[in-house]
Amino acid sequence: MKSSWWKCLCIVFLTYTVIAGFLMPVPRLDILHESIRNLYFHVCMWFAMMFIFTVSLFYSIKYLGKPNEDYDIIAAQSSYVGIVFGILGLSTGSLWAKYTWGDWWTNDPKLNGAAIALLSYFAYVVLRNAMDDEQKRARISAVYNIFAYVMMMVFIMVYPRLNGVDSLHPGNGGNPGFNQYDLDSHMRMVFYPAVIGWILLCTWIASLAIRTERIKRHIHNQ
Amino acid sequence: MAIISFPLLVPLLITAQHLSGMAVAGSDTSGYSGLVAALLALDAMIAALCYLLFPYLWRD
Repeated sequence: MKSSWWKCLCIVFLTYTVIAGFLMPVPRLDILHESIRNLYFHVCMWFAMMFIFTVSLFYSIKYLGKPNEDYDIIAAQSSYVGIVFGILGLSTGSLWAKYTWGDWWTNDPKLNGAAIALLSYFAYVVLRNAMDDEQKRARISAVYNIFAYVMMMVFIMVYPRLNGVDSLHPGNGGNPGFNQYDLDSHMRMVFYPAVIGWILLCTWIASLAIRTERIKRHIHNQ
Repeated sequence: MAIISFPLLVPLLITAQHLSGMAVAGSDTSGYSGLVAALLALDAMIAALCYLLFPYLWRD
């Protein structure tokens, strides 16, 4: 019970996010209007995804340093959970796009970048399922994971910010910047707990997946 | 197995495609330097990662 304080924190923060996120006052901005509340969900999905992919990267590097089966389990399950959060990020973004930009999918560099980044993680899943030998699979997928992470970072963080690449997202191509909403103290009071809450939830799901996989391997090895 | 590397090469392809699109249109040249720098940085990064990670792949 002592070690599960962060789970309680997660529940408290997410309950607060849902209640305050829908009821607290938000600034009236052109185009966005009430849909700005999606910030507490859409943006947090990406934060959670980045966090869990970073965990996955960390354990992949650790595996290459010292081939321990447990590192492989953590890296793989974290990636799977990250993919789920990535899909949630894309779908919440798609909904938001429908009501602000008028279409489910636009040819925005951030949208395409995120989709391709997820595609490279789908390839990670395919790669893992394609190999039977456990050690070989762990090693090759660890190498692939490092590559995929770097490419994802380039695509999500660097590419949309380049000159000459126009994005509809806030802060790009003449759109109002994220900082403009962030300055609003009401939104900040919900947004920061929301980010922490979603990251904790992501960690929680990943820890369950990791423990299930450990048990599966244990039963398999008996 | 080699086909798996395709998604990893897409960033390179898209940057190059964007750049050649701008070159053909020939109107707005302000974004060139950033994209060329990005392309070179991507190349350098891929080369560095390959150099570092290949020994692990090869160790069979």
